[in-house]
Amino acid sequence: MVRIIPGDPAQVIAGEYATKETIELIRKQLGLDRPLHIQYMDFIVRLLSGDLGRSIRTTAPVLEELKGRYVNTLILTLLSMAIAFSIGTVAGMVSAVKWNTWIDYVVMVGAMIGVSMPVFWLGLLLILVFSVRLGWLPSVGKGSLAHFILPSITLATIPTAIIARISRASMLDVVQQNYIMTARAKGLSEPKIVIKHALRNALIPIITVGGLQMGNLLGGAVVTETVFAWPGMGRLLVNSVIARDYPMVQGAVLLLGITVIFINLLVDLAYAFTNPRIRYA
Amino acid sequence: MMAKERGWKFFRYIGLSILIIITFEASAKAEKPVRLVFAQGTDAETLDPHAITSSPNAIHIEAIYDTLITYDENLNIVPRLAKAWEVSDDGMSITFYLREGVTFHDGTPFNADAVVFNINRLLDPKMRVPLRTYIAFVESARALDEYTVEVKLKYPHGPALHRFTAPVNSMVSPAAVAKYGAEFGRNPVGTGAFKFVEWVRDDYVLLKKNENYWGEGPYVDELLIRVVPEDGARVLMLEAGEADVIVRVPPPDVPRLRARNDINVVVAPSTRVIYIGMNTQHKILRDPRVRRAFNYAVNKQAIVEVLLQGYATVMDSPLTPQYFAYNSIGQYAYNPELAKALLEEAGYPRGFKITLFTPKGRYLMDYRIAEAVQAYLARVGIEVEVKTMEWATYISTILKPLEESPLELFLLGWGPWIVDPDQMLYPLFHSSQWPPNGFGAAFYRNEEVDELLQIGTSSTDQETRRKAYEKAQELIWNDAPWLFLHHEQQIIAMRSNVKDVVILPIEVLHFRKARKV
Repeated sequence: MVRIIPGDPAQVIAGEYATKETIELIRKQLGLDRPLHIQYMDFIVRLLSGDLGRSIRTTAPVLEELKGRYVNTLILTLLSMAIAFSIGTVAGMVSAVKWNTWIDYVVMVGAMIGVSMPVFWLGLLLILVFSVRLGWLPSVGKGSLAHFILPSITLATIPTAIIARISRASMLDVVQQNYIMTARAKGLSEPKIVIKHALRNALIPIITVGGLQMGNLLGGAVVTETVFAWPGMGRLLVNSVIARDYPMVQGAVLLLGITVIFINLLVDLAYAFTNPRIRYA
Repeated sequence: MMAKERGWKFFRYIGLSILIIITFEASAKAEKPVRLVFAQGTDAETLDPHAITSSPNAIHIEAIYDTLITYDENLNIVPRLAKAWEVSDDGMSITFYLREGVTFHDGTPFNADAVVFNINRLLDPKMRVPLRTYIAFVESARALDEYTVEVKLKYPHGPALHRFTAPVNSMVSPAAVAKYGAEFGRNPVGTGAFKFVEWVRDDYVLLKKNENYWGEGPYVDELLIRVVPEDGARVLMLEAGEADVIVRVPPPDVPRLRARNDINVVVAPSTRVIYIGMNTQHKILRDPRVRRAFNYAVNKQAIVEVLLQGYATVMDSPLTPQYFAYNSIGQYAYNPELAKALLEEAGYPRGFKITLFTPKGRYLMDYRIAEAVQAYLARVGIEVEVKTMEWATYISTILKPLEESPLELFLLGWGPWIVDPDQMLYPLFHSSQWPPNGFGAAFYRNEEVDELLQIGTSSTDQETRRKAYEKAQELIWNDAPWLFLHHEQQIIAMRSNVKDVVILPIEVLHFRKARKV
């Protein structure tokens, strides 16, 4: 796909001051003067031996460039998802149980704000309050544990809000089922009904949406990464597309693709775990 | 009840751990060496000076390496690794007398052989040197003795010495190049004030003091060059005290930062010009009256004052005041009536349609400027369609040869690393530099200008050059191949305890003598 976009990595590397000869030379060095199908074959053959090639922009091996940033992104994603799941599900549940009361309204308005708040603005606001005014937390970059707090909160906002809404809807759906009425009729306490009987069944859509959100965060956290100067996959991907760094884009997309497949697998396993009826054989 | 209690405990733990982290960090800070943190928007692409392409990257290079000669604050050429130099009478060779007793960070001695090695590496066609234009005039180099090098030129070249100050012509350690090969760009070894420690991509480059630096400084133990792409985040970092020096402060933040007594804002000139090129071979734009009309139709002063909040200067010559031979010709003052009259004279009383290409986010307010120009031209009857492209696509559009070029109007910037008119005028206005050979995308051709620029580039007599450039500026200005806009200013902010950071108009900062008091 990237190859179809006009623009030439050799020109980007060479910059404004280069001569035609320099550009041609760079193109040749990069092997970009060969036909596309040969370049693709070359990519596949090298991939089979675990070689993703070298970045056009930085000349470093792609795998090496990806490694650090992939880990950064993964940690941030996992932290954000932990926040999103814990706060989102609890908020959604409470909201469903207290359906149509002021608690419900507050949670749902909160969720709406969460979904629609620009991530960019929220990130800067958090830095302003917690780093500049209060001086409690470091502003940007990574280093200590404290560096994770603001970006993961920022990144978690949208998934939290989405999960809260899904949990509420799913919960409302479940509590109207007959077996919940049965449970009530048996005289079980309300917390027991909600947590033991209702939640488990309501979890399926929450997990589904959570899995999708996680895939989104992996490659799509560009804005958060930019605001917090976080060296992650999103920024790498965008910068590489801008520089037409083909090997890097291929490597990053491949790695993210594998991760998303893996997450889907985990989601499927989680289904089976929460709902025994889904287990096979 | 239970759940509630557990919940509170959870929060208490979080609060506690935050506290622990903070106190830990605070106590760690007390013992830390003096570290200067500089934040800019983009990361280094390489730490091999011979492979760099951008000004932000040149800042790393200038800290780790030295060139033979360099600019001081006032853009005079001063000694660096060469303590003296001599240009032969015929202008065909330059002899550099090197500083003695200098070693690279890896212990390799710096001598004439090292210089010869570096120049050969820069000229080697197999090496990827995108900015070879800064060394291309050199034929060869040879060592006369341990500390004397003679550089032979291909032709006499007026700005030869200027070109040796360019960061791309820095001296790298021959031993380190042999050792690291293709990985040298990530294991840099120079003679500069700072030694390389670590580079975490898209995050930071950490450098430490070179204890054996031959020159004055450095006065800080560590220099941390951080990548913070978001302008607003950099400002907040500075305010929080996490960065000491930042670049590209957004103009709206300036008054607020100025009001603080722990922060200094420096507004420094830049030689970067922003212009709208006009395809002078285009069927309508080939008429100079039309191009002059465009220049009169746009209120450039208003663009500078409103969009750039005064942090730019309207051009009054193709050169900026820092250049030798700068000839202030006088602005095309805003005059829509005159513009209309010129258009009518050229046969377009009812105007016409035209396209303006612009990048978005490459230069300060680039897209907004294009929109403003669109509005001004509409007032004299020209219907402008503004098209924006992402940078890689844009560059490849700019570099198309005339037959394929879709260019009519195009917004661009130009900021060379040397302040000699040659690098400013020749690539943009000499007719041999039409794309794809060069960057002269206005397809401008004026034989007299060609001749004058040729004199400028090949003569070594400064008076002859001055006259040629003064005349060339006038001719170019009146031919108006560009809609001349402005030259930018650099807005840099630093904590007030930071002293002696050198800011050059070529958008390069020197931290060699910087201190934190």
